[in-house]
Amino acid sequence: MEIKSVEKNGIIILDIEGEIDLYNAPRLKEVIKKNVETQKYNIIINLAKVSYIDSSGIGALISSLSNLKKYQGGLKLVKVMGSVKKVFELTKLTSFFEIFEEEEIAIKSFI
Amino acid sequence: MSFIIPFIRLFFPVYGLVVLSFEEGRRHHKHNQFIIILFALLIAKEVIHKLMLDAFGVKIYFTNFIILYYLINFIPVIYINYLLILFISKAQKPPVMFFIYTLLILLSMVFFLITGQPFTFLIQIISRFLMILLMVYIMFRLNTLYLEDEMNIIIKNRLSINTILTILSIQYVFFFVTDNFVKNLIEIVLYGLLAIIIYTRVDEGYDELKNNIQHLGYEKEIFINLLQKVGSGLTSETNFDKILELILNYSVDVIKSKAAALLLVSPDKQYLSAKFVHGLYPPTEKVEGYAATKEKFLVEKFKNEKIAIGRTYLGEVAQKGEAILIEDAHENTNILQTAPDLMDIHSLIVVPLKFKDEVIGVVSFLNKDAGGEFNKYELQLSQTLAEQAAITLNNFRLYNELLVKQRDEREIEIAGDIQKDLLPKQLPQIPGVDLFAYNKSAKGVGGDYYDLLNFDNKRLSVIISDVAGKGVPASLVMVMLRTTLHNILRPHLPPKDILTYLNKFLSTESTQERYATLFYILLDVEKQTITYTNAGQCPLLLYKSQDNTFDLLDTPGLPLGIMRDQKYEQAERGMQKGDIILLYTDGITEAMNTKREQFSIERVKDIIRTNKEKSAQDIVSIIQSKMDEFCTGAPQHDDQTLILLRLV
Repeated sequence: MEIKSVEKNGIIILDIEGEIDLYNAPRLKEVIKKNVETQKYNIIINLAKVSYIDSSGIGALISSLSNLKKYQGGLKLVKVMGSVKKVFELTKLTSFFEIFEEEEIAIKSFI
Repeated sequence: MSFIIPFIRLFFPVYGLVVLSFEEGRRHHKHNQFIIILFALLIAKEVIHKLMLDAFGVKIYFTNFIILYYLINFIPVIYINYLLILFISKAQKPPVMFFIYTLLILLSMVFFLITGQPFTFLIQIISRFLMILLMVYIMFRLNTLYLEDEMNIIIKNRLSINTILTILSIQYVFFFVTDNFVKNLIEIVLYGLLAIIIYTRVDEGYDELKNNIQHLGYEKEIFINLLQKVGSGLTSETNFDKILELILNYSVDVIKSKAAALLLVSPDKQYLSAKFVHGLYPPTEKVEGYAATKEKFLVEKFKNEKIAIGRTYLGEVAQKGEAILIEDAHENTNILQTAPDLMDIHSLIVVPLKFKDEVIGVVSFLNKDAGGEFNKYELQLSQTLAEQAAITLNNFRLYNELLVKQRDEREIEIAGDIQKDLLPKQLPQIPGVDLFAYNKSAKGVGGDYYDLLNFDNKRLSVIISDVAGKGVPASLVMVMLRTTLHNILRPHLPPKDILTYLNKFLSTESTQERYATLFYILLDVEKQTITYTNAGQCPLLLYKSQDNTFDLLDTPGLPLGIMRDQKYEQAERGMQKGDIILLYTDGITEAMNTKREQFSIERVKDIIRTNKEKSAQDIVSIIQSKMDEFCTGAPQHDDQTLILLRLV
C-alpha cells in the first residue's frame, strides 16, 4: 500500500494505491492521526487505485472518521469501485461514509 | 342481587391466587409468594368485612375494627404500587411521594388510635392526590422506558396498564362524590387486574431478564476493561505470569472480595498450588502456634501448600470443574477455619479456570469487602470472568505459539483452535429441521463465529457473525459477543431488539475498529416461519422448493459496534417443507481462484438447486468440495463459514 498526500484548500487528499489489509491498516490510521496532530481535520481518501480492502482496513476508516468528527472534521471517500465498493455495499457502510464520484465534489462539500 | 356482589369483589383476587399458586414456575417466585399472601389478605378482608358487618352492624364494626380494616385494605395497595414502581420503571427506589403517601396512611391510623376519630378529609385529599401523582409517575416512567431502550422486551401490556392506571387516577379524583362501596369495588377489581397483568401476562422470565440485563451492563464494562488491560499487556508484557496476575487483581477489583487466590493445577495434574494471592488467604490446613498469629506466615503457608485434586473445597472444584458459592461457610463442614482469629471465612466463591473441558486452575474469592454474603450474581460474574480469563490465557498461549512458529505448518491448526473453543461443540437436533454447519479458518487467528441454540425443540436461533480484524483482540470481541448473546437470547425476544442491544454493547470507542457483522434468524418450526435481522452480514439465501427459485433476504443496518444508536429492523417469512436456508460469510462467496475470480453466490445456488434432495450435511460437503476444487492453488484469505438448514 502506498499513500500519497496532497493538500488542496486546507483539505488533505490521500491517494492510496494497493491493498488495505490487516498488515497495513495501522499505517493508514497513523497517517490520519499525524494530520490530526497538525490540525488538519478534513480528509479525503481516494480509493480509485485500491484493489482490495478487508475488515481491518474498514475498521481503520471507521475509527479515523469518528476521531476526525471529534474535531468537527470529516473523512470523505472518493471513487469507491469494484470489489472495494462491494465490501462497502455488503456491510451497508455506504450510508455511514460520505462517498463521492469526483474529488472536486468532495472538496466542495467541505467548503 | 346483593349476594352476587361479594363474588364479583372476590373474583379477581381469587383468580390471581389460583393462577399464581398453581402455575408451575410462578409459585416459587419470591415476589409472587408475596402477591399470593396479599391476594389471600384481600380475600380475608372481604370475608372479615362481611362477617363483621353481619355480626355487629356497620357502626360498631367501623369504629372497633377500623385499624384492621385499613391495614388489610392499604397494605396490598401500597405493595402493588411499590412493585409497579420498581418493576415497570427502572427506578432503584420508589419516588419520595410514595413514602409520603405510605406515611400519611400510617399517620391517619395513629391519629385514629389517639383521637378515636377517622382521619380528616384534608389528609384524605392529600393522600389521594399523591396517589394520582404516583400513577402519573409510573405511566411516565413506563413510557420513557420504551423511548430510552426501544427494547420491547419489558412489558407487552403497557397499554392495558396505562388504561387501568388512568381509570384508577380518575376514580381517585371522584372519590368524594362516589359511594364508598362502589369505590372499593372499583379499586379491588382494578388492582386485582393490574396484579394479574403484571404477574401473568408480562413476558416470561422478566425478572431474570431484567437482572441479567442490569448485570450485563456491568459485565460489559468488565469485558472492555479486561480487553484494554490485556491488550496493553500484550504489547508491553509478553509474560504469562503477568497476565495471570493482572487477571487476578482485576477480578478482585470487580468482585470486591477481602482475599483471593489464583491456583494452578500442577503439570502432573496431581495437585493445586497458589500462583497469586491477594490479601490474607488462609491455608487449607490447620496452623498451630506462633505462625497462626502472623499474617505473613499464614499466606506463606498457603502459597507452599500442595492441595491434592479432590481434597479440600479448592481441590474439589478443580476435580469437578464446577463453581461453588458458599453463602455461609460456618454452616459448611467442608470449609475448615484454619486461622479463625485473623481470617474468619464467612462467605466464598470458587470458580474453575477451564480450557475446553480441562481444568487448569481455580480462582477463589473469600469474604465480601463490604461484609455480608456473596450471591448468585457475584457467582455468575466470577464465572464470566473465569471463562473470559481462561479463553484469554488460552488465546494468549496460542497467540504466542503462533508468533514463534509464524511460518510453521501448525499455524492453521493453532488459529483454528481458538475459534473452535467458541463454536458450538455439537449441532442441536431439532425435529423437522435438518441442519449442518461448516467452518474453516484462514491463516491467522480468525474472525468468524456461528452459533445455534435450540429452545424447547420448537424454536431455533441461528447466528452467523464475522468480527473485523484478527488476533487476540478480535477473538475477545467474539467472546464478548458470545457471552452477551447467550445471556440475552430468549425465543420470545424480537430479533431486532437482540441486535439493537448487542450493538449498544459493542459500541464503545475502544472496540470501534473491531466491529462485527451478524445475521440472526429465529426459526419457528411449528409455525414454519423465520424472523430475521441483519447487521451488515451477507444476506440470507433462501431456496424455495415450491417454484425452484431463490430469494436473498436482508434488512438494513450497519454492522454492530459502529453507531451506538443504530436501529435494526426485522422481517418475517413463511417457509415450506423442502425449503433451504443458507447463511454464509463472505469468505465463501469471495473465495478466489488463481485467476482472482470469485466463487460467487451463483455457484452456490447451482449446487443447491442440483442437490436440493440431499441431506444438509451432504449439500454442505458438496459446496465445500466444489469450492476447494475451484480454489485449487490459491491461498484461502478469509475465514469460511456455512450454515445450512432444510425443513423436512
